[in-house]
Amino acid sequence: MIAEMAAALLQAQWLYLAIGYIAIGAALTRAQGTGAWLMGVLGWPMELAQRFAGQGPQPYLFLLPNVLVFGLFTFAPLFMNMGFSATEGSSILFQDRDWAGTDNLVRLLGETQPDTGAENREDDKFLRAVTDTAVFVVFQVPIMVLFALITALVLNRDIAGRGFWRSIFFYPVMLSPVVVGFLWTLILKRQGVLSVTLMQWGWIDAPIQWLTDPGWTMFWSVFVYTWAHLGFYMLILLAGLQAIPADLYEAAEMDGTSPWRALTHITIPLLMPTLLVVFVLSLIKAFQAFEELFAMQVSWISVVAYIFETSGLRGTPTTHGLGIAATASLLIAAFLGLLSVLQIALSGKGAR
Amino acid sequence: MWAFLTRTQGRGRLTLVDWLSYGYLAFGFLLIFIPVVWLGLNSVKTAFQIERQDISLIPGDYTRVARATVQGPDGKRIFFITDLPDWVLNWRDLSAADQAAQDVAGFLSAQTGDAALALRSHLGQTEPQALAVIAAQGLPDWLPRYRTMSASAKAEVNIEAALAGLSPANDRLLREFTGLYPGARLTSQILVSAPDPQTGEIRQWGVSNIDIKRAFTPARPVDAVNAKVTKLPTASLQADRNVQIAWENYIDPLSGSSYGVTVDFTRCLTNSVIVTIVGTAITLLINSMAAFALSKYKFRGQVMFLALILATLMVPPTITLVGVFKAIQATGISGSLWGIIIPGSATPAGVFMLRQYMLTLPDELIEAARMDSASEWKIFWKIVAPLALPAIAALGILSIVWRWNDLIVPLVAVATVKEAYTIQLCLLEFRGEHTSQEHYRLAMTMVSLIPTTLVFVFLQRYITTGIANSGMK
Amino acid sequence: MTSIQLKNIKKSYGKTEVIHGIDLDIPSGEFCVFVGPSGCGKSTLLRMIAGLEDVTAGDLLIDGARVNGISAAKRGLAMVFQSYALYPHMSVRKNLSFGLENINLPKAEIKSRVEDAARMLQIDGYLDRKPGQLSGGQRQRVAIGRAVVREPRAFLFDEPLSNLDAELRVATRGEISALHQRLGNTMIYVTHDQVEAMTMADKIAVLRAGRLEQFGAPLELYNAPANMFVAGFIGSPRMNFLKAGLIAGAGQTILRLQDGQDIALSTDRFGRPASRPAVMGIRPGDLEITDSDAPLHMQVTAVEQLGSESILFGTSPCDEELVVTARGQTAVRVGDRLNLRPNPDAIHVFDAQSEESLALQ
Repeated sequence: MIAEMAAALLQAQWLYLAIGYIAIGAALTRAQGTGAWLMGVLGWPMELAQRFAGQGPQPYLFLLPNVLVFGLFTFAPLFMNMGFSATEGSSILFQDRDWAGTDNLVRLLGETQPDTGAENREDDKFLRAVTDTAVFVVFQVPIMVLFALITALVLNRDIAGRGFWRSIFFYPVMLSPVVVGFLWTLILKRQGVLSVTLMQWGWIDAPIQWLTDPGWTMFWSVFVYTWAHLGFYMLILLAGLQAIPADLYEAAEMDGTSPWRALTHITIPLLMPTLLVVFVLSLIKAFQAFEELFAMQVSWISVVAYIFETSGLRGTPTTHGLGIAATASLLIAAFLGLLSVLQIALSGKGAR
Repeated sequence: MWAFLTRTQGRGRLTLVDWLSYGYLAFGFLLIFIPVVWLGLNSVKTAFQIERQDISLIPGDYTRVARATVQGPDGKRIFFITDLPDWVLNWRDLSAADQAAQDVAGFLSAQTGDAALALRSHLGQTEPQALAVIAAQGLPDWLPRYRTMSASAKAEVNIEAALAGLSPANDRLLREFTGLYPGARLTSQILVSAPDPQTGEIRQWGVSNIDIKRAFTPARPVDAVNAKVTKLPTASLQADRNVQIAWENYIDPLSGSSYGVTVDFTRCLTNSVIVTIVGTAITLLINSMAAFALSKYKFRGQVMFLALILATLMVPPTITLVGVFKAIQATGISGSLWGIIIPGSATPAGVFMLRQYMLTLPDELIEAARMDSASEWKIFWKIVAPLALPAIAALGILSIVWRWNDLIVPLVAVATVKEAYTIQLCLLEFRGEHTSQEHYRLAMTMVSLIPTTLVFVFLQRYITTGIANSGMK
Repeated sequence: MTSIQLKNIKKSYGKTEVIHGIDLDIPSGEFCVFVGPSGCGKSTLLRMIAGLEDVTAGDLLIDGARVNGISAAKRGLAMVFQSYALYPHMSVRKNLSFGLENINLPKAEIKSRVEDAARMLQIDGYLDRKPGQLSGGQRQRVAIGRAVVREPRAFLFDEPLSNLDAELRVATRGEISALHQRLGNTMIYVTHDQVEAMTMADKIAVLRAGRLEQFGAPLELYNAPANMFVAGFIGSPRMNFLKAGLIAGAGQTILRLQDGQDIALSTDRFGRPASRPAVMGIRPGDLEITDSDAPLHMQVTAVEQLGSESILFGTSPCDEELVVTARGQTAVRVGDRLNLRPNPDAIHVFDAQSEESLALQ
């Protein structure tokens, strides 16, 4: 088992670099004790830098690994996406790709078949993905915020076993998207327990494939996605509710305020900043909905699913797929960036 | 329990709102736990039960009987063989190793008549026996290929002449082998007892499925040969259900003996464990380093770095898939576990959470350490990191959950390299070769739940405070 | 032995200058106290000496060597922080030995140093406890112990007593003085409490708003304050200030109070200054209550009987506040009118404009 694990990690080509790093560290460190020795081995460049360059560069060195990873795998991909969107060809190597200018944007919006480049108006997948995702978001976000709020309000009451109930509602957040997808597929598939039970009760005549049936696929997508993420937003709202000072309610009670008026005139206004953050946060998340839906194989494609499928990263690469997917992802990233700015502005206001 | 639930905090009787609250919570509880419990129940159902889409709550199986169909010179014969051992009934679901472990020849030699023919075919002995006969009798060398020959090629050879002069048993064997007779079939059916509609006497019947929605179930009596199908009222059927927990759904894939599966579950689990442990370790190290720099130093560009790190929240890998793929390729870590570990190791939420915590540590401690001749690196790991341990632990636990559940990065990073699949990819990519090996997938889904559920049960406090404090998942 | 010199030290944060050029010469082995109201820059100055803050301009010399660019770790100084800054996750022993381990001293040496210091400071009983399990006074000793084991060239104290209660503060004050006697190291001590400064210091540096107001021995500051600020800051109760006019006559210089009373100034102490608006300063203990006519009068508004002495508060005829301390117990009551005679040798005169003392050095 240990050997297997070691072997799995030791296949990268910069293994020698790592060994060299540790060797130098081991040679330089004089610390005693396992933990001290380990940290000494890890931190030798910092120690050396401080010895020779003083304290000034230290914060930059502390930031370096993290910023390097961010740079390589968050910012660089953004620029690479720009590169892909401005070039065409099926290769992942930039030297094999030709300059395309805005051709990919034209293809994306003009709905060109990614593989052949032929016109593709019958099957306008991107616009379809955008409108489908918009429909999903329009239903999913308000429903989730509403139920998260209701749950948080209920859990904020004097009820027995509060911690227990809170845990229950939080549990789905711990499940992986794949598991969430499978759980519900098991129930919602054609011969699944829902169809069969409803048929036994005589409510439906024939089994329904709930996840792909055009009339139901969106409903269940919204349902499952809300089921999986509700607990997270509930927790944020609960924290917001608990930050409202209790003496406000006591004062209101002294004034003879009814519970309903207390809710609408004290709780909701004071919770508004948190509510806004939750709203925008769930909006951003919902636009990226992909993994659960992918695992459930629903019959509509979200924008991220479109990007994933069109890029051909896992299927066979198509002629223009990479470029079109990259262009689509830039459009979405710009849109999400806008939403995030909104969120930061709102949470900044909320903090104040 | 009831007293616990109806207890109020000194406010007398439960109000309507209280009742509604408890109702809502109970409903939520059912909605959340029924699917999970359902998955758990299904994961221990036998492959047969899963294939039949049996929605009963109890993992178990009906007592089974084998229905055999044999074709020969005297036409088709349908009859039942009772009391077969389990390994014979489930032969097709056994792994190659399990099949090899059985004494097939010894079992067959004890069988006689049509039952022997049916079982010979079921247990895959027709071909080796036929080839042995062909070799022993010096029969034409096209015989083994006859079955797959085209019609025109078949016309060119004379099969009847080739088979002439064989003993009846060998003739029978080769006719079955060459496809002149359809091969014998054995199917597993449910053994029920019910009154015969004509005579009213209780008989044993074989049925393929019990579906309560249908008024009548087609059945054949077990004790007759070539009996007609009789429609029995479904309500009159009596079947023995033996609760049988199919632990093999778990044991087989985990011991690497699952049959007809395209992914290696133990490998996937090992990979996930590696990714989770190493990834979390790296995340904790580099995130806390960055948080230390951003909280305890004043330096040029500090605000810019903080903004930059928060900005990464806006560009999730979900969106920049193509670029992330390219970046992982370009750094040469694609297809290995590092390709999963490294890109996810810098988390903006983690840096932010740790920074907020470290801001609350007094600066004087760091100055004292500086006066004590501690290097900045030593101040970091010997003073600041131990004192930020509550926040680091919270991030560690979140990171374990993130890593274990992550799908996007593995999907992009390891693409088609099966050796580097994580458990999530395995579950997603899982395909049975012949039949859908759904029972394995259900069991492995349950296994994949174990780490996060353990974290949930024992360490939930850290996660909830972590989320509540940072507002980030 | 270590001397510390500051040469035109300046400190700015961005464009705001907070220390405006301080020159100070702390001889080896001296106990020097930086005193001043909060925000005067005394802590910043100490932290610059420690190496925890950069010096914006000027030279900082330790034993004659410029140390501006040298990190705190390498200056060989030890500091006791206001909050003690004990490492909460380490035992007392580990707190004491941490700095020694950092400079890779041999283990035996560390052990003996820690134990010696612990014995000296009477903390050897709880070496294995965490700081959180100690009382405020014990923590204070550990913080001092942490400095002592380093055997530093100089000790720096940043308001180390401000978190202790009054009784403990007096006791610890004595202990720190005793420590200085025993070790003989140079020590710099920052406080806002002038009593601490007076009782402990060999030399006091009075700071205000980033400027050095006066530097000298405690009694020097008490007896010959350079300006009104130092005069008011040092000594308790505070010095009385009365507005007056300085009139240079032919034979003598006269201080004319607002109510027209004249006080003659000795030429020995003041020379022959020119006429100008001035402020007269006189410490409460230097006013004598007398039945005969005297230049100062006071309407008593409050009386504090301390037993061994009495403090009388009141106002002058021109509504200026006056405080008088009288030896022993007094029969004076609120509302009484008192005649006060100043001790002529204890009169201070300051220029009303510059607030500088007019006394000859």
